This record gives sequence, C-alpha cells and structure tokens, in this order.
Amino acid sequence: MKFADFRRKLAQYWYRFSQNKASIAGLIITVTIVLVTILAPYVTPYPEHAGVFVDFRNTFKPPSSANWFGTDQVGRDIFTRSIFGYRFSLIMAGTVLGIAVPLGVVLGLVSGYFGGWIESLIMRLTDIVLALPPLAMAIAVSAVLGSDLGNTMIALAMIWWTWYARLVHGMVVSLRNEEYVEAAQIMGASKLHIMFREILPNCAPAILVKTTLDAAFVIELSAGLSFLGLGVRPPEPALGTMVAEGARYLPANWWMTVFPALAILVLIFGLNWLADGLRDVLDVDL
Amino acid sequence: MNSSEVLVVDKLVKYFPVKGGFWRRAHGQVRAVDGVSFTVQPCQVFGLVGESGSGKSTIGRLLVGLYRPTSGTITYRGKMQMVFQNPGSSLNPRRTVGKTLELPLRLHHKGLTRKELRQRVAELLTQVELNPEYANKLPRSLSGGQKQRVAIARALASDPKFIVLDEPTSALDVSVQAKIIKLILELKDQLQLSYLLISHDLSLMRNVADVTAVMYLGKIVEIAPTAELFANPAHPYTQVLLASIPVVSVEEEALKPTKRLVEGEIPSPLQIPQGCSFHTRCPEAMEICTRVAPELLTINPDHQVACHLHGKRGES
Repeated sequence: MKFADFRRKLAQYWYRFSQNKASIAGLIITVTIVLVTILAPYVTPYPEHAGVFVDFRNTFKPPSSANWFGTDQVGRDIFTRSIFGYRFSLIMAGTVLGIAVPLGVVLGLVSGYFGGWIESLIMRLTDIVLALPPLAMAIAVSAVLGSDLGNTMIALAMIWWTWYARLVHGMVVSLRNEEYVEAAQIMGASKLHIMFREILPNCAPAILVKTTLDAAFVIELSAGLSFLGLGVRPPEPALGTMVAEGARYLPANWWMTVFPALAILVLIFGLNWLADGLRDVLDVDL
Repeated sequence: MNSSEVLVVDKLVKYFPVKGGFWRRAHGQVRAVDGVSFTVQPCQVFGLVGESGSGKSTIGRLLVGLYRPTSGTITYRGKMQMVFQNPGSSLNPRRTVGKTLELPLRLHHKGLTRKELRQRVAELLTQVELNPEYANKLPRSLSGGQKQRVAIARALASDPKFIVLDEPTSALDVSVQAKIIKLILELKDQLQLSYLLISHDLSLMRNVADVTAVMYLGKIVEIAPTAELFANPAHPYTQVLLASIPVVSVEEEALKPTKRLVEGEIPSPLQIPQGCSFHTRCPEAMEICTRVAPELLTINPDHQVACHLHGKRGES
C-alpha cells in the first residue's frame, strides 16, 4: 500500500473512532497509564516507596500537595505505590493474554478448519475447561503449588484460552466455506497458508477487540486475587493488596482504600471504552 | 481421452449424505450429480444450464477438485481453474489485489523474484483491462465488475487450459455483464482456453456457448450444439425452459416455441421421482415415464436427448 493510501485509511479509521468521545477518553487513559507505568521510577515522586521502606514520622497522612493520595501505615506514598501497582496489573494481563490468546486462536483455527474428530476433541476440551470458574481455579492452583505470581498467571492462562478457541472456531467454520478460501484451495495453497493467511486475518479484528476487553477482565480478576492474598507478596505493591490493607483502617483513613480502588476502576473503564472504539472502527460483532 | 479433447467426464456421480438426528447418522443421500458424461474440445465453450438444484454447480466443483466424486472419472489436460459466481466473496477482503494475484504465481512459477512477481501482476491486470495500479487496492474499493476481472486474472495466473465459469455474470449489473462476457471470450481466443460455462441464463448460453447441455435433477437430459438446441429443442423440459425466456421483440415472439410454462417447483434431489425424473412436471408424460428412466439417445448427429418420446422413434 502506498503511503498516501495508508494515511487516508488511517484518517478514516480515526474519524470513525473519534465519533464517540468515550473511545477517545479510553485511548488517552490507556496510553497514559501504560506510559506512566513503564516510566514509573522516573515520574513518581517517591520511587523508593515501592519497596521496603518505612518513615514513621509520616504515617496515615491524608491527601496533600506532598502526598496526593496520602500515605499508608508505614508512611509510604500511596500515589507512588498505585502507579507501581499498575505494573503488576499490566504484567498480569500481558502474560495471561500473551499465553491464552495465541493458544486459543491456534486451537480454534485448527478445530474449525479441519473439523471431524479434531474439532470434537478440541471443542469438548474447551467445554470442560470453560466449566471451571477462573477465580476458583486460580485459588486452587495457588493452594496446591503455592501462592506465587507465576502460578497464578499460568492458572488463568490455562482457562482463558477457551474463549478464544470458541470465538475463532465459530468464525472459521463460517469462513472456511467462503469462495476465496475455495479459490486458494483450487490453486493448491497449503493448509497452513489458508489457515493463517486467508482465514486468520479475517478473524483478527474480533480477536483484537476481545483481547482489549479481556485485558480489563484479567486486571479486575488479578485485583480480586491480590485482595484475597494471592498474587504478589508484600512489599511489592499491587492495587488489590493495597485495597485489602487499607480496608483495615476504614473509615478513618479512607484514602488508603479509595485511591487504589479508583486506580483499578479508571484503568478498567479506559480499556472498556477503548475496546468499544475499536469495535466501531473495525466493525466487529462480538 | 483421444488426442483432441481437453476434458472428458465419464459417468460422473456425486451423492451427498444427509445427516440428522441425535447421532448424526446418514439417513439418506442427495443425488446431486447422477451419471453425467460429456467431452469438451479445445477452445470450446461448453454450457451447462438448469434450474438451481439441478447439480450444475456441483459438476463445476467436482471438476476443480473441491468435491471428490462418488464414482466416475474426470480426465483433463493442463491446469483447471475456476471463476466464482459472487465476486464479492471470491476475493479475500483483507488481501490486496496484488497479494491475491501473487499467490497462484508463487505456487505455479516457483522462484520468481519480487520484481518479476510485480511485473506479472501488472501484466495480468492489463490482460483483464484493469489499471496495474489496482494491485495496491483492497477488494472493498472495487466495483463488482472490477472484482470479477480480478477473479478472472487470478484464474489466468496459473496458465490454465480450462476454466470453470460458475455463473460468472449473474451477480453483476446487466451493463457490466456484457463487458465481462466480451473479455472472457477475447481471452479464450487469445490464450486458447476452453470453458465450462455454468448458468441458468438461457440468453447468455445462446450467445456464448458452442455446445449446451441441459440438466435436470443431476442428469443431462439434452445435449446439442447451441444453435441446434435452440432451434429444435427435443426434450419437453428444454422446450418449456426455452418458452420461459422473456422476449422483447415481435420477431423473437414468433420464434418462441409455444409451450405452457412448467408447473411447480423442481422436486427435492432427496426424493427424485421414479422413472423419468421429469415426469411429475412433464406436459407430455406417458405411462412408461413413471417406470423407466430414459437413456440419452442420439436423434441427430451431435444431438442427444433422454426422453421416451424420442425413444419410440429410435426403436422403430
């Protein structure tokens, strides 16, 4: 594609995306949070507060110009720790979906394209795994293998792929009879070419939108897990853990709970709005 | 296959199992193609007409290998390609025209460099009278006629000797149809191609096909050079089909065979009537038609028909 064509197409996409103000808000929120999180050591006021740190002169300080979100029971800056807490959320979402999406997409493609007993095997396995609730599964795995971030992420990924297998399987079943797929077959194209070059690109928009939505889901779930004490171990900051710790000091020291909780909320809203915008642009029906 | 023919189809049969019920057992079969034989000569346009459900598209798909025949043989020289009915869905919406055309080039001429590929794509586009710049476009930005031209270019890319045209114009505007047909015929002469033209459009057949075969419920009921078929239709089904062509002029009206239109719908290929499959709708059905399926008989050189009306003549 020529550069001018590319720019025109981009402008079209942007026009459709920007029709909805929430989409723009979602994009700005998501991009800002990701950037700030990557640059956390440089943009936060007290990066040393992210780890082991105590300052007993400054415990339980309410929000002020020095500590925007106040301080906690050992005097650490809640704003700094919230930003660092996003790291855990994003790593969690990235790893879980980084494993689950490719796995589910490939299994969905294979089962949808080949059909027969391969399809039955993969889809019945999907049904079985789908019956396990992710939160319960993560708790169970943590109980057996020990509460460890890696274990929790693997537990979630081992469940999450099913949604993608189902989504892609459904699309492939209808796309494999399209005439352009038959045309490629007549020309003698390989099965790999047909699956990954002819069919997969037509599933990509739906996969992208679902991945964005699921990022919000995983973050929500990981906050829930760390609230329950599964996930990262203190003093590493996780937003869920901070909410749980702060809850012990409610209602007097409300900022310890409210601000980390709001931080989770903002990111989830941002991702959902972004997903809505992408859905409009890419014309996806989920 | 003797030396001249490009395609020989012999007693081709395709049944599709019908599955249903809880265990998805096969409890019947659709006899989509039921013992069809014909041959195609070089540079010939072989027309296949029939109502939907007559099995004509199934034959096209069998020829290019999308379906495997239940029995019977297909023998051909060189490569076989296909142009589909709906240009909207026969091009991948996410691949540019150039990418779509590169695939058959890569597969059939291994070892082409990028530059050579681009050059061949440009040549193919010129051949179907499109601007080579279109290589960068996505199908979305092309009109129906332009898409069909790309589909034709894609079929040509692997240097076939034979192309199956499955209703190549029925999804297009009338004004565009004529141009596409003209292109198809010019390419045939230029590149020494043979075509199997599948269509329900009798006017198109009359103008384009050299030989026309009429299909009814999976069987060829009449086959003749097109001029002969239209001048002397022998099978009652062909006669009613021809009578159903809308006419626009008095001269055409005078030429039109006077037969009343066929009643009812084509029977389900799941339950093909006993005897002659057309007897349920035939205006001239006789007692024998309900019992015995007629064979194809030669009534004139090159003119064959499967009907008991002519069988009697053959016996006497």
